[in-house]
Order: sequence, then C-alpha cells, then structure tokens
Amino acid sequence: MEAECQLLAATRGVVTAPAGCGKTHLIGSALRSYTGTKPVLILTHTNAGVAAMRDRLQRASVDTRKYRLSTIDGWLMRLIATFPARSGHAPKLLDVRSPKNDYPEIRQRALALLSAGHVSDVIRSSYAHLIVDEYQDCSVTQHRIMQHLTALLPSCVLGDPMQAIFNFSEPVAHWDNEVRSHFQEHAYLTTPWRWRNAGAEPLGQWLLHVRGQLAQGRPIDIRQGPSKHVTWIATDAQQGAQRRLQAASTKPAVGDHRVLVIGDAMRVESRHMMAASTPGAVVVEAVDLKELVAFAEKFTLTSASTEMLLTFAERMLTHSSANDMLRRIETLSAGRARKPANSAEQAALDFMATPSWDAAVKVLLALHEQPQSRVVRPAIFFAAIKALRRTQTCQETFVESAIAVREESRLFGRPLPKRGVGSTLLLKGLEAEVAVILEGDNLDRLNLYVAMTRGSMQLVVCSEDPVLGRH
Amino acid sequence: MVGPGDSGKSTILDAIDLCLGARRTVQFADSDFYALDTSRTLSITATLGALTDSLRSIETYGHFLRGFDAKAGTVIDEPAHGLETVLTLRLSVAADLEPVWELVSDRAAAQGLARNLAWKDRLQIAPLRIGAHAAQNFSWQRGSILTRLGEEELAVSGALTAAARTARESFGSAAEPQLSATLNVVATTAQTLGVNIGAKPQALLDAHATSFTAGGIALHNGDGVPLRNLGTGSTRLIVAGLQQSAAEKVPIVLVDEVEHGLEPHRLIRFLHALGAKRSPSAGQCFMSTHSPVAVRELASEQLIIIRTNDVFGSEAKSAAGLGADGTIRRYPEALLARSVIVCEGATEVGLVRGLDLFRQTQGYPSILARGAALVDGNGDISQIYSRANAFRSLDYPVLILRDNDVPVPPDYDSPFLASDSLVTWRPGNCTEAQLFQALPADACLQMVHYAHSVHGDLVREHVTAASNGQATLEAVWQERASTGNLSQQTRALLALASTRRSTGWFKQIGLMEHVAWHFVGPSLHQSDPDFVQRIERLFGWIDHHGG
Repeated sequence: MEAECQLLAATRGVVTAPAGCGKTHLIGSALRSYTGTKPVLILTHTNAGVAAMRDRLQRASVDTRKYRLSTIDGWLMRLIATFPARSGHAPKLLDVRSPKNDYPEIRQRALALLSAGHVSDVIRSSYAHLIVDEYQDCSVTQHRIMQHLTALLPSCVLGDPMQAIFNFSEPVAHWDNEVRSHFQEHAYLTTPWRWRNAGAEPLGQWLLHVRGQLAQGRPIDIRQGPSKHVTWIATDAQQGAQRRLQAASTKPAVGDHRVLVIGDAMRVESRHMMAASTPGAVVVEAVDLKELVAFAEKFTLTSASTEMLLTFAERMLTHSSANDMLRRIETLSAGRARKPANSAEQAALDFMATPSWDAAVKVLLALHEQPQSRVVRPAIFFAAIKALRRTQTCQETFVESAIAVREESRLFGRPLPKRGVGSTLLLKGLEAEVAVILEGDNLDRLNLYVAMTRGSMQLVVCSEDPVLGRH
Repeated sequence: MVGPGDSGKSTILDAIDLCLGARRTVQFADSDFYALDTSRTLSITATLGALTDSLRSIETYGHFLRGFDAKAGTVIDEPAHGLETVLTLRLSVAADLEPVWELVSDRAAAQGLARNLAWKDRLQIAPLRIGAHAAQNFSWQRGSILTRLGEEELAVSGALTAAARTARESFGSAAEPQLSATLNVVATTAQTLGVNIGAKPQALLDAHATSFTAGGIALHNGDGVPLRNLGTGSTRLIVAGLQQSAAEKVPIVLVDEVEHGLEPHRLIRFLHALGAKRSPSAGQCFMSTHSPVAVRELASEQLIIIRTNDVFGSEAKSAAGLGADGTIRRYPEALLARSVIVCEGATEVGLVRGLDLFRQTQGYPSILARGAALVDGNGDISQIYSRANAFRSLDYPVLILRDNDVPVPPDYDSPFLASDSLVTWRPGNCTEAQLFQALPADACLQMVHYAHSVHGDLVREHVTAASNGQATLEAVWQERASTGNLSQQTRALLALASTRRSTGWFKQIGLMEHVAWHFVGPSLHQSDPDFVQRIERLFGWIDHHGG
C-alpha cells in the first residue's frame, strides 16, 4: 500500500492517526526510504509498544542502523544517566523503586537538562529525525520535553486524541490546546487499512464514522453498524450473565483467528471469572505482573507455605481448589487415605517434607498436568515457574528473580493469546479478528472507541442500551 | 612548534601519531618508558574537538562526551551549554608493553565503563604524517592518503588476480627456451626414477609469488615513471595539496621539519598547501620547524614554543603575545634562538655585530653559533621593553642593551636587573658619547675619519656647529698631535657633533658595525676599564646562555 504522506518531510508535524489507519506502516515506509547515516529516533510510551514496533519494522526488513527505538521514559533515563552531573539526580533514582515518584522526577530532570541546552549539539549530532508514536498519551511534562527536542531535530509525531485512555498519574497534554498549537498538521489518516486488509472495509468505514460522532460528543447506535460484521446482544438483569458468557465464547469465522474479550475495567475479578468459565480464554495481564511480585514477597521455603503455594495455583488454574488439596494432604499424611496420592498431591507432600524452590516448581507443574486443569493466567503462572527456577540456580532472592523475570517479559512484550480477556487499557494496542465488548453501557466515549476498534472482522457488543457513548 | 633541539618537538608529533593513529597495535619496548621504569604506566592523552556527528553521537559515545572550556583551557567531565563538546582518547602502555586505547571520562570510570573509538571513527581521525619519506602516499597501501581520498573501497582485486594469471601464463612460454636444458634434466631424472610428473615439466611463476595486493598499485606520471621518484620537496608538496583537497577526510596532519627538502619559496607554498593562511583552517596541522621562513609565514597564534623544563619535561607555550607589533615577522630568527638581545636601536645592533665580527677574528665563536639573536628596539623605550617582555614571558633568556641618555622608569628595568640582564652605559651617555669617552684617542680619530669618508665635509660642519664655531676638525687633530690624547671636553664635542642630526654619523647598522669591528674591538684593551667591563658582561651573558 502507498504511504499517504512522507513522515520525514515534516519539520515539526503532527499526524492524526485513527486506529487501524496504517500508522506503523507509515513509519516503516518512511524508514525504508530513508538513506541518511544518522539514525532516526523513534519514541513511544510502553515497552509493549516498542516490542510491537520493533517486530513490525523487522518484518518490513528495515535496516536496524536506520533507527533507535525506545520508550520515552527509557530514553530519558538513558539521557540523564549519561550526563549525571548535569542532571544532578541521585543515582538511586534510576533503579525506579517507586515508579509513582521516580518517573515524574526523571522527566523533570531530563527536562531541565534539555532546556539548559547542555546537550543540544550532542542530540543534533546523534539523530537525523524524531518520531513520537502514541502522542496522545504524552503527559504535560513529556510534551514540554518534546518541545525542546523538536527544536533540535526535524520531527513528526503521531497520535489519536480519541485513544487517550492511559490513566497516568500526570495530566496528559491537551491535544487541541497544547499538541496542535506546537505542531503543524502534517496529515490526517483516513484509510481504514486494518479492515480493508481483513476484507471488512465497511466495518472500518463505519468505525471512522463512529469516531467522528464520538469525537463530537454524539452517542452512537450499535444497530446501525454493518450487520455482516457487527452484532448487538441485548443484556438485562435476568439474562445478562448468561448472554455475556455466550458472547465471550463467540467462535471466529476461521479456526485460527483470535478473539479479544473486553470486560469491565474496574472489576478485575469478574474478568478472571469470565476467563475461567470461557473455554480457551486466558487473562491478559498488566506488564507490572503485580500478583507475581506480591506472591514472591510473601512466599518462603517452609512447610507452612504449602497452603500459600496451593492458593496461588488456585488463582492461576481452573479446577485446582486449594481447600480440596489441603484436605487430601491431611488425610494422606495421617495414613487414612483409601485412594493413593495422585502426582500433584505427592508433589505437595514432597514440598511439605522438604521445601525447596525446585519442589515448589514441581507442585505447580503437577497441578498444571492434572486432567481437568487449565491455565487461565499463563503470563503470571509461567513467570512464577521461571522465577522459582531462577532462584534455585542463581544467587538471588525469589523477589529479585521475580522482578528480573518481569523486566524480561516487559522487554519482549506479550504474546498475543488466541482468546484474551482484559480491559480496554490492557488491550489497547492489541488487535484481533474478533472483538467482544461485555459491558458496553459502562464505557465512556474514548474507551468505547478503543474497544470497538480492536477487531478487524467482527464486533460483538453486549449492552442494555443499543445507543452507547452517552458519557 | 619551534624550540631548541631535543626540546621534544618530534616526540610530541610521535605521541599524537601513536594516540590518534589507526593502528591495531604498536611495538613498545622498555626503553620507551621514562628512565626505563616500566612500573610507571606510560600514557598519551589527547582531547578531540570539532567532533563530527558520528563522534558526537550519544548512542555511541554518550558516557564519554565531555565539555571543553576554551577560555579557561580546561576539560570538564560533561558537556554544557557554552562549552565545546569533546572526546578524550588515551593510549596507555603498562609493563606488559601492550598498547591500550580507550576513551576517558570520570563518570565512565566510576561506573567501570570502558570503550575505544569504533574502528571507522579511528580511521576518520587518523593523522596523516608527512615525513621525510612521503612517497609511500603515492601507492594504495594501508593508511596512504590515496586510500582515504576515495569514497569506495578499491575494487581491483578481480583485475589484479587476472593480471597475475596472465603474467604466469606468458612467463611460462617466454622462459621455456632459456630453461629448456634444466627442464630436460628434470624430465629425464623423474623418468628414470619412475616418478610421474606428466609429459613435460614447465617453468611457471609461483602463484604465491605473484599475488598482487592493492599496495602494489602506485601513481605514475604520463611517461610511466613512478611518482615516488619525484624529489623530496615535490613529493611533500603534492601530498599536502591532496590533504587540503580532502581535509574533512584527513583532518589532522603531522609534519616533522616542515622545511625539509624545500627552498624558501616552495616552503611557503607548502605552508599554504597545508592551509596555514586559511581562516578558519580546514583541518589541523602539527608541525615542527627550524626555519625562519616558516616562522615569518605563520601568524603568532600558530606558533608554539617548546622548551624543556626540569619539572614537566617538555613544556609548550603559545607565541600569540608576540604577534601584536610584528616582532615575529621582523625577527623570526629570534624565535628560533636560545637567547635574545634586545638592542635599543640600529647603533647598538651594529655595535654588537661589529664587536662579534672582531671577536671572531680573535678565535671566539660567533654569537649566532651561541644561539643568540639580536632584536632592534627602534630607539623607542616602550618598544624595547614590550619586545623584551614578550620574549621573557615565553621563557627566553632576554638581555637589554640600551644607552643611558634618557631616564627609564625604574620598574621597567627591575626584572632585567634582577636577572643581571641589562647592559647600559654610564648615566647620561648615548652610545656615541660612551664610545668617544671610553676609547683611546686614536680610535676616536679613526671613527671621525671614517665618518668623514662616509659623510664628507658635513662632518666638518657638524664639529664647527656643535662647538658654536669655537672649534674645528683641524683643532681636534692638533690636540691629539700636541697632547697625545684628547681632553674630555673634545671627546664630548665629538659625541655632540656625531649625534647632531637624528641621522647621526653612525646611526645605521652597517656604519656602527664597521666602527665596532675595525676601531672599537681592536682598541678595547686600551679603553676605559669600566666600559670594557660592560662589554665583557654582554658577551659573558651570551656565552652563559649559549648551548
């Protein structure tokens, strides 16, 4: 497909890029035709975004010497780490023990370093251009940093104010008042490539229309979507739960197509239940793998920890009741059992007898191999096994291992599940052939737009009211 | 760089070459260490400014980028607004004699980070050395300027291989008739012994012996004569010219003995070819010279004085301070001398030169051989002292020779008095007065006679006028004939007459030189001991500071 505009022709441009309109492709084709010797600096917000972009650029066989790809915060951390005296930060800051306080300080330090002009010549020498992706997620401080960088480098930023749903602690730069007043409108992408390539152009065109309506504060009627691609499922107090469950199991038209199930942002447990009760569904986790770290902080090698281990497994797997297991173990230890111990029970007994990291791994694997059990939260479950193994072989605590494994997975990004359950925030940036929205009534305009644009062929919306986006 | 021999000029050039050159390794020996003490690591540190983009990249060299404060002349560990961003490269050699090149910054050291320049960047900054054998730059061997001028790698390997193959083939058929006897013996022997070497052995060039490399390709003139046969000077001129045409690819040039093999006019062209007159200069050139022609051709801020120092070894100082009043342009020799004598004016310069000529006839070495240079103060007190102080600030031993008819502010003289480096006359005396007062009568009359032979009857008129018509030249002669001497009054009259006009009888270097050579020198042993002692102090000082 043709590039709709030349990104590198902009000196200080902004490209408004609705979902699925070929933004990443635009970056790739700009880099492919770029022949300079200095690299282009590409910044985005999340490690997942970096991983996805790297993957896309590699598949487009863009020479890796032509670009440097990083998260904004990662790049800023490197900047101040390179010039510590000019930045004046305490070295501990870069360990980011307390993300809530540390990231804002990192940004402030970097902003001060850049605005003093200490490294202007260095930046100019280092990069040929600047491209910032997902610009709608830039905080006010990040936007000020970009104002300095764009004074040094020809730049083009891409973003979509309709997808600004990251709830960062800092306020986000206002698209019209701040972003568009600093950058010149370079292009407005209007070709729904994602849907056109999937053979569902009418859906893509309708979603562009939906975007326009929502942007103007007008609600939209799901029933007006192209019927071939859009299904509305009316839910009410009696039939809601049942219908939502059915919707979550929606079969894609082709066997290996993927499904994203978008649940309530606020009710995490209900999403986990939904994943557990939907065949083949897994939970999409936040990159901080909070539950893994929480488990690692509490779990110790004592016989008494067996219960904690089994409870953790219960949350990760289906059909793994910790209470049932504990009762069986009691019976078995007392020698009152008629049925001999199965492999999982034996593993748990072994751990109780001589607790070790290896023994804990064996318990988790044995539970996983039980005939009826299924991993609902693979990201955390397998990370825990990896971390336990690491603790066994490396000279570090379980918590350190867990953090190391988390950082590793952060770097490599999330593998896309066949059927993933998450919130709009978690699924932002992911795409599948089918998107299922479980609680359409609860989504505000931005969340609704992001949720609706996750599926390239089919969209299923459950709600009481067919008219959505009223708030 | 100028400075006395063994002050370290060539060592500095070597050090730059070793530190910045693109070499994978260099052979070092114990004798390269100071006093053979290998326990003290040898290191050469160079800070590079005017960085190209690739050298200033935060991605490659971020932790090593530093700031240079040109005003203070200091390097600060991190770049800052208003400072020039620089890199510091260090070559160090410890007792194992293995050279290690690495970039240096305090913060990288604190974090245990170490890295060298990337090889492509080292190639980019590698200095071009124009030595006595610059001819190597006329072939495509490694490091020659030709390999750095072209954009592409020399794509000749195919052509070279084919040429070697052709050479092997045609050699065989050409050589066979001459070697046939030997070949027949080989064939018969092999046959007799039952060893099969085929029907007939051949004499071909050994494939290994005829493999060509790019280094074998050289420049030739239109007639096919290799350009390396050009004279030393022409070779160096062309190489310098090539460097200027591609200064961004060859940013640093090192030239030892810039005047080597060049007549003055070609030396000047060489300096121009190296960009000496370009502002801002296209590249950077470090050279050493002993040539006044080169010194005169360069601006004072381009000149660096190197001299040995007991504490630091070699020490470098900029000659920029000498630029203001054109001292360098007029006295380039002084910059190359060991000691400098600032004379009040032409009369004093002539006096020293004449005395020196006389002393040479007596078997003394000349003051030039002693490394002393004479600088003319133009008879102006402020010029005398500004020149003397300029040289003194560069650590040259400086002596002032001036007359004593005009009072000089005492603070002018104090530094020179302190180092016993001021020679002057009795109070109130100009040089002519001092001479007429101190020399024997015959010498005085010889001076008058010489003045008459140069200026004619003007001399006679001067005497009459100086005495308000009371005396004549004849009267002076008569006084000598009748008394055997000249009275102080007559001597004063002659002094007055000889300096009546600003031109005076002897106020030219040549005239006073003649006087000193033929009259002052030969009669010194009969002169006023006080005067003799002053002259001896002058020559004693020159001897003392001579090498």
